[in-house]
Amino acid sequence: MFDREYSFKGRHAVYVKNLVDDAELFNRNIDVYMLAPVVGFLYGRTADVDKTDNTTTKIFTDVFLKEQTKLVFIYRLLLLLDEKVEKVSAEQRIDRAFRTDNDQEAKEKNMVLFDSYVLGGIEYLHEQLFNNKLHDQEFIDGLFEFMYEFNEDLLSRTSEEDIYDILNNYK
Amino acid sequence: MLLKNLTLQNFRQYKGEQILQFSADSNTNVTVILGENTSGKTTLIQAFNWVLYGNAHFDTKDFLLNLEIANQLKRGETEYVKVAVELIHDDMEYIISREQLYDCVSYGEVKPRQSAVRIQYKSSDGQTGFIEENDVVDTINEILPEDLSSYFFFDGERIGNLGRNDKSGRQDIAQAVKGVLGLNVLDNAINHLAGGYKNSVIGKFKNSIDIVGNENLIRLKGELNAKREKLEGKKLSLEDVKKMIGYYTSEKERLEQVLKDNKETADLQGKIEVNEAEIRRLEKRISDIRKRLINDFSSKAPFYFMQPLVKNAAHLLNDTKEFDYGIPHMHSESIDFLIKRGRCVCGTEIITGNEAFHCLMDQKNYLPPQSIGTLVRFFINDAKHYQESSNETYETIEERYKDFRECVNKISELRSENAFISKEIQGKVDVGQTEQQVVQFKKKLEDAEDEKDSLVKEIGSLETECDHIDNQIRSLAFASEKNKHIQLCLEYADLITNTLKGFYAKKEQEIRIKLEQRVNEIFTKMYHGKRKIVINEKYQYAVETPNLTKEFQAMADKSTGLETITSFAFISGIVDLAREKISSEDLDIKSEPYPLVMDAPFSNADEKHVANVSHILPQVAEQVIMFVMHKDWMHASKVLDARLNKKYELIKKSETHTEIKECK
Amino acid sequence: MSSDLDHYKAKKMIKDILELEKNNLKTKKLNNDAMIDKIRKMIEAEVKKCY
Repeated sequence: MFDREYSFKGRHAVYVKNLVDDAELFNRNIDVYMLAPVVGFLYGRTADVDKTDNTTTKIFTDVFLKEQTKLVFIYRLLLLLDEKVEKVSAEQRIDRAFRTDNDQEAKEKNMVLFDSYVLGGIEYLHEQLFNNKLHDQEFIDGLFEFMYEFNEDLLSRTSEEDIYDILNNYK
Repeated sequence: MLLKNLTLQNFRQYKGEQILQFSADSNTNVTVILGENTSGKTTLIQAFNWVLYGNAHFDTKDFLLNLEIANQLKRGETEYVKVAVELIHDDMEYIISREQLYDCVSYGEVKPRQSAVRIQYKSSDGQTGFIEENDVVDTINEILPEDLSSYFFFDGERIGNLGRNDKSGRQDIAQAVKGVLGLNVLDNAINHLAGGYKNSVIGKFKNSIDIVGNENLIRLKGELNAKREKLEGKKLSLEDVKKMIGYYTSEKERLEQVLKDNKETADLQGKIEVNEAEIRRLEKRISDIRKRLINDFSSKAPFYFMQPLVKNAAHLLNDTKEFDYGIPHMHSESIDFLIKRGRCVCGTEIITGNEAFHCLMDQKNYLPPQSIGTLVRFFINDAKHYQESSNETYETIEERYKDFRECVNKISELRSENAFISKEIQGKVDVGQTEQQVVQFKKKLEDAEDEKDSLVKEIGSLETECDHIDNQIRSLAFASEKNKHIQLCLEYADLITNTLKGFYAKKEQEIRIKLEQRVNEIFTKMYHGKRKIVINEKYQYAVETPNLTKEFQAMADKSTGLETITSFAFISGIVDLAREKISSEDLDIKSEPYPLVMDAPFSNADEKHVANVSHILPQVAEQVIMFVMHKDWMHASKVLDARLNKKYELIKKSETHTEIKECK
Repeated sequence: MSSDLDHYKAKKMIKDILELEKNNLKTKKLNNDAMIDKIRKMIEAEVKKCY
């Protein structure tokens, strides 16, 4: 996984270009690719590949290889948690996340799931962060607002439990 | 290259055969030819030009045959004009001779025919022969390139050509200089290897990469071509925008100066400019902050946002603790082995489908590679690690954002203030309109800068994309056996090109710096003022006069005496440098020394300069041949007598007849 | 993808190319296209050699 070239297509390609080249809110296409599935999952957004448009923008293999470790982590994370796309038990989800590395068919199925969150996340990010009429500085304002709201949300949630404790408990 | 002698036969006023021998001794290397104006000094210079390149610039055009001889010709008779120069170059002796037939077609009408040039050579081991007709011109140009000839045959009276001292008017002699200094070989090699996309060794290798039958390669090449075209278009647009920016900027500055000059508005205009400077500084700061903010966001956002997800995943893994209770040091293959042999470690019989079999098969899930305990452990570790690193993410970004906003607000304030001041200025009767124009140009400038920025971005990403596709083509092509050989050739060609380029760049810069130094050394010796020569990458030179304003500089350069000195310094610099051999261990480039032949070098300089020039020149060129007027010789002889080997005088017998007489 | 290039081979090729260029500068027999072709063939032949 994450060892070969990927092309964004159709409107998602346009969105990525908007975010990376026009608004300059992300340094590289792959930075969008890494955040999008997380955001897509958080806000319950999935989407299919848009084949109606010829626009593309790519992530090249060598770029993927650099970030492979992080991407595999995110991949496993989503596979552990997703119950929306397919109703699966906890045990099945763990299997899906960790046991399928050598199973070609299962991996492909997983990647379809992962990619649908990627595309959904791109749509969400584009909605939240991009607007044709904005100027340079206003993009930054929008970006900060996006983070601010999430931070507020996060603060209200983590006041109950400490993640560290949970993690440390695991033997 | 050393000149040995010059033979003239019926060339202009030199009736009959007349010979000039040149001193070529290292100590006494000066030959002087004295003569008044119109005695034929210029003609002798032209003789060199004619024998080598077939050029002759006279008032009475191409008619080279001595007039007295011409007039004696009867109908049907012919006579030759001939010039021959004997020289030594690169260990070879050459006699270059050119002759032109003149034909008396009818009484009083003598017509010139085509001139023909021949070269006879004699090598250091005694071999002689004639250079093939087709190669003659090139051989001459290799000995002394025509482009450069006007610097070695210095025609003092034709300052006009060399005197165009505005930077744009100067002839581009880079190629010729490189030739004299020996960089041509490298330059040509590099051009042949990598000079063009298609027309070069590397281009041909790239093109010959087998694309038939490989759809991907064909597609990629198509993509690449399309992108390259687009890139070129964008580059052209960028050039246009840059020009506009240059224009708007100069207009704006001109108008701002008007405002500054006006007493009433000077202060106000000053305040605007101070504010603008501060705005620029803040904008740069904003740009920095923005970059850092986006860097932080780009790299840290995923882990920041995934915090709640990680918590949930941790819960999940915590609640289902059933992994990796496998048997230590046992592998799935061990089970396969047991099943195959039909008997367990404990002795129980294993048959496909029986209880033992099912038990063993189940156990495989808890052994590597199916056991996931390790993977899960790594996963948890990673989660902890990412969690730690995202602790400060929000605070960091918030800080930066605050900074950012401060700067933005400050800029807004300053802009309002400037707008206010601008309105004030516009209210002033005299300059109101000027201020309006300034505002307009500022807006146009802003728009143009935006356009430039977006073009630069586009060009950057297109170039990256082209590189990526190029790399893809290479790696795809390498896969095919047929292309492996070409790929290897490409790599060697690349290596060779880069090696040569590196060496060339180093040498060229060394030479240019040396040249500039050398020229300035000579220049300060010759000219006692505070001036300096600057040489650019095109080997064009200009005089820089520090401490004078630009207007004075233009005026100062117009004095032809200064131009002469400038040219001398430059020529002397090149000639001096040409003497040094440029070499390295692996690559061997030779340079030839050259003589200096000058016609009336003092005609435009004063007495002090005559002495200075005379002093420098013989030290700088291996051989100096000078055509001088008697009056100028008076000053020069004091310095040059000791280095003199041969001295001639041109005796003007009549308007159409000059004799060369050697002075003992 | 990039193999270890033989630097002795590269050196030889550099020498040969420069010799070629130097001669051509004197004789001017070959034009640019011909020179490019010659250099290319020279590199191809040298690379084919197994030593």
